[in-house]
Amino acid sequence: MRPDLAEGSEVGWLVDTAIDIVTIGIIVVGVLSFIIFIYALIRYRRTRQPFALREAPVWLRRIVYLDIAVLLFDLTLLSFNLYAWHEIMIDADDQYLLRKAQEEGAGFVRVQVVGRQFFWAFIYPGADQTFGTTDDYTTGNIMIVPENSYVVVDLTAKDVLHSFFIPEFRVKYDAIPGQRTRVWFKTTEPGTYEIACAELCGDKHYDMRAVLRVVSQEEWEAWVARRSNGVPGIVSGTLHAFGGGEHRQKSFSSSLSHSGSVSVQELSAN
Amino acid sequence: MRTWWLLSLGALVVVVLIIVGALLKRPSYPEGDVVLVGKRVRASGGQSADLVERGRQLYIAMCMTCHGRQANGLPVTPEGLRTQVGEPILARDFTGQTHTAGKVVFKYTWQGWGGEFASDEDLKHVIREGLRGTPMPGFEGLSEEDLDALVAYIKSLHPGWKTFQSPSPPSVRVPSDLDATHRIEEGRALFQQKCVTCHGDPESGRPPIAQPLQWYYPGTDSVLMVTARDFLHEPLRLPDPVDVFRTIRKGIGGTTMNPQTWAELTDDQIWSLVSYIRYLQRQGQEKKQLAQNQE
Repeated sequence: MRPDLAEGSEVGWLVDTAIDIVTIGIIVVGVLSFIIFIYALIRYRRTRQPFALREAPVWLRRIVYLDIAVLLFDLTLLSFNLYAWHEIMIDADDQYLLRKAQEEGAGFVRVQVVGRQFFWAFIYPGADQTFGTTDDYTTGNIMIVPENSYVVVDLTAKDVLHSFFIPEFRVKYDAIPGQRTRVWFKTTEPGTYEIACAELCGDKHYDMRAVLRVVSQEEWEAWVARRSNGVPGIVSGTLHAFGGGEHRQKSFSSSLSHSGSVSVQELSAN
Repeated sequence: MRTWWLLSLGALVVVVLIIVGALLKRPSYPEGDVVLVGKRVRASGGQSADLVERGRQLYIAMCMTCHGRQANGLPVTPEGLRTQVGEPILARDFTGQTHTAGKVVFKYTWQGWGGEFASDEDLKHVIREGLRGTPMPGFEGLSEEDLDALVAYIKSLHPGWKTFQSPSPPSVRVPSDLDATHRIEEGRALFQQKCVTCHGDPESGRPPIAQPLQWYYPGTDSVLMVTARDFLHEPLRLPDPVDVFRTIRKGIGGTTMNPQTWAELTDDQIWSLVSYIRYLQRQGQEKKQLAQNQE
């Protein structure tokens, strides 16, 4: 079974509907075909019909209507899929998403994703929103994005084909060495989701799994501030504020109480 | 009829032989290529073999592509590794097979300049934070057990870990007036005295006088250039103020960053240098942004 659609996934329903159309259509066509097939097997068995018919019986000639039904189904599927493709891939360029984010008051985040055997690296532009500056930072196997934001993923791979797959957001796109591809999704609520590799890439393919953590706006800002070295007054004590676990929570609060100073014992406790 | 029967029997025999042969031949997965000390996973320093094996599996999944099949820092990726500014680099060699003549040298440790090995906390710090400006990502999401396993595996790769005693890190406090103007001024003066020989003067653009250190990897064409950091154009590997302080106070193992040269500086003066370096980083960032906006 497919996982539940993530809350607020803007275009996930398109993917789901396309899958539903295919599933239901194929069930209908398949069942009808089998009924005709089995009926023909019984009706024209050898004891009853020892010689081949020179031409098809009348009822079988009408089967062309089934062909027309299949054609209609194909056209429905094709048109819906073209619509979905247009909504997800063609229409949604950066300008469009940025405008939409501004209209809705939502955030807009860019992340470069690099697939490697066998982990995902996520490159963030840092506080200045520009890639290639000194405050860029890279995380491994964990992608952190703010809530209520459009996330544009710039996708590539370093060695072999990988496929960037977030089941809950219905995002799946190949990461191709030497090429940059682009996918996007929208987050609403904070939560934790799975990122997987959906292209067999080697013997640890099954282990190529990352975590997508959608955090609240305050957490996101604190994280970016800590990760971007240019921000004064942010010290390591605040590091693992949302790394989870009691251990890290403790060091967070102690660094707060020191107000901008932290001892190395606390650091090493991290 | 008889011919067909013989032919199909022959085909069946061939198929059975192929299957038997495939079963007899040991599969050669990349895991088999990871050479461990003594060819087998060994327990080290009170760590259980299970933990080391788990670390090995994690290493194969997350580290092998850059740190190499033999954990010697020669990446699997054909194009090699580059820093953000485009210099070729190599990942850390955990086995001491290559450039450091049997030694393992970790650079970001409280051991500092003379030391080779790193404490568990130093290793975990780098794994968790990543190294800015290099392909090394920060694996923030790793659980404490996974970090323990990775550290245990790294420590099983060189026999020297057995006798290594980790020093306890000193207590450091970040001054509250870090990034204040008077600190930056003091840091600039100190930088002119102590650092420009190797680092050059970033503000006037004067290049360093000293030559960069080179590490050659025997048997390969790989050269590791250990150049002094250009604070304006390149990020600090670990940008945290405490890490910058530690780097200046303790130096960097395996390089010419020897803290004896500035041993007379007080901790307070070193904090001023940290402030100045942070100031340079911000300047570089603003310059780059300005240049991009003009394009």
